[in-house]
Amino acid sequence: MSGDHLPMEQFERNANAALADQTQRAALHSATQLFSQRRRNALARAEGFEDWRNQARAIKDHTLLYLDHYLAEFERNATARGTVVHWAESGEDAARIVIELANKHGIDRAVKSKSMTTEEIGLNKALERAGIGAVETDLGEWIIQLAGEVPFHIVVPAIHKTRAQVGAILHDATGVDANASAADLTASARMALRAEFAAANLGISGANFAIAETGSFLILENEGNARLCTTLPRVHVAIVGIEKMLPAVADLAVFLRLLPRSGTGQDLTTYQSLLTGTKSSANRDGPDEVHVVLLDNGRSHMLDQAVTRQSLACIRCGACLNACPVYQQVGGHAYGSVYPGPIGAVITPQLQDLAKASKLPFASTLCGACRDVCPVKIDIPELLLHLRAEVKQGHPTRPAAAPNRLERMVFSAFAFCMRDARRYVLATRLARLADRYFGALLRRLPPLSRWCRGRTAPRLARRPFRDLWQELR
Amino acid sequence: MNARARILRRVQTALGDRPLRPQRPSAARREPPAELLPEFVERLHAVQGEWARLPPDSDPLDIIATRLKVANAKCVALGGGLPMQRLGRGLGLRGFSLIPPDASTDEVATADAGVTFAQWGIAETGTVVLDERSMRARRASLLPPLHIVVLPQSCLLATLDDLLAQFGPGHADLPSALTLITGPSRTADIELQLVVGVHGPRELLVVLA
Repeated sequence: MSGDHLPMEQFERNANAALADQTQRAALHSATQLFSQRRRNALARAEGFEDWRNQARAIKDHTLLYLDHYLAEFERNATARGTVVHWAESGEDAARIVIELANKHGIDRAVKSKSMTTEEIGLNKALERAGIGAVETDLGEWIIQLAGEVPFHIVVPAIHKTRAQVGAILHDATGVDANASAADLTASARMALRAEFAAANLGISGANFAIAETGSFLILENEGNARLCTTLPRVHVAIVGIEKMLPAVADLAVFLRLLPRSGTGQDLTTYQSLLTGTKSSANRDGPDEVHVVLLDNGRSHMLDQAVTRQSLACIRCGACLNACPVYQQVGGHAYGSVYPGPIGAVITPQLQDLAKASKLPFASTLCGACRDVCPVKIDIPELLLHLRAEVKQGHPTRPAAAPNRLERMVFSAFAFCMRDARRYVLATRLARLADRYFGALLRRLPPLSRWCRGRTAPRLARRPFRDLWQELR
Repeated sequence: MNARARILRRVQTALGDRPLRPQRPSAARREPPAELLPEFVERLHAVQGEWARLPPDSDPLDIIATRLKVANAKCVALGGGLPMQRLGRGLGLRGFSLIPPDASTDEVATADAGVTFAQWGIAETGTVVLDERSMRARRASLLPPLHIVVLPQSCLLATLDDLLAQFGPGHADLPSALTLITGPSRTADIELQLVVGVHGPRELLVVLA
């Protein structure tokens, strides 16, 4: 797969290219099946999971409905503990805040822990342009950075790479034997990244949750690199989407039960860092300065309708990716967006230009597997349909896509027939006749030929159920 | 108008008129496990953590010294806190070279092992919890390849709820860092193969004393 984002407008072409890559498909198959299986195992051990989902969603819905209140409360409490709170309307604003912070301290090297939010705003590139080197320290994320790619999966960024491919990448970076085992490759990364940690004065992270009543934020991880990023450098800055807010510390429990089980099938990830303000002066452990950048970048617009607001309840577990029959086949890069899979197909068009991401809401079979596994019960199919309608009909602030004449005609005719029982009977009778005599031909001509390329159009029954029912009754 | 005001304005405009803010919903607390210690040990074992159980309030020095020798550890980074000071003296007398909690990061990074106390344990998940204020062990528990943590059995809590309910307005202030640790550091980023000890400790021993 190519380095930078593939064009989002060409989902179909990207998907076809991905389908031809057998190595990638094999890796994707094992990963999605394994994570789905682990999730099922974890759920089997967790009595009350369904209740947790409902409770977590209720907390998210409430927080989002009063988000202005909770953001102000967070700011007040974080500031009282010595955290510096910044507000960023856009990704560029957030990057500028981080760059100014680095410049103020004369810092030109930063270490980063995995954060989808910083991927979303392209922070690494912005820092690079400003002469600040930022090294990703999550192993998968580092591999991706060294390869010049974007994450393939929001939880396991490099699942599409084979050990041999990773070996070649790490060989160039650390000098390790390219044929080394996964354990030895990992050990070489540990060594190389320890040097980065020692040299960096700025730690950059995201956050999984922010707590309004205490001004805290929480980071979950397995490797320990987020702990290193938030402990060793003099300055720590966390980029936090405004939707990460939770009212109270106690609310974390239910989310800590849901997120790891849904994401990796763990009962709990190895580390949680609940960070609140700056350290006490007597302590050498921890940074001198802590900054939080509250990022909007299109999120506030998603609050205006309940249907779109639910997208902000997402806790980025990745379960919908693993469950999605489309993602399972084409993988993360085909979407051409930072957030792939079902959740990416609904949040990318809302965060970015809908026109540019107009293909993504259609990159789904609407089977609902994503909704079934979502730990906060986001109705992704409902959102996909909502966005499809916006693509076709436009939105107060976003123009509709160019109309497709034929499509309009077909759907108008469909609606005309469906509005009246007699028209419906007549239309289906005609369709049956057409199918009987010209069926094979029709399937070879456009527009049906295109539809039939990957599918078989079943023949219409010779006698409709309507007629059979008369006899059966 | 600054960015803060503009973001808050946009949020308010999008949300429009709302009913007066109701009491916030909260999740039910999880049923505690029947017996805390067996549950803790089982959960810890499931994530490749080691454990050793001593009679309550007994001195963990012997078992820690033995484990350090097994790991061939000579240089030990210590966490902070009063009980830790006593334990540190004991380790010093047994010939281990010690790195105090306020040493430089470079020094802590050279340690063969870190020895710290934990403030709490959580039976539900097999987790030990380090409070920055009393433990000062963010680095000693993270940088060395072996982490030995002493958990007084009286500090074992049933669930995550029991831990978190202690903090917030009307309760205790949160420390600048509350660290939850469940097993050794791990990754599966290369072909989904589990590798322990990627950035943090490869081995974790919880001494229940």
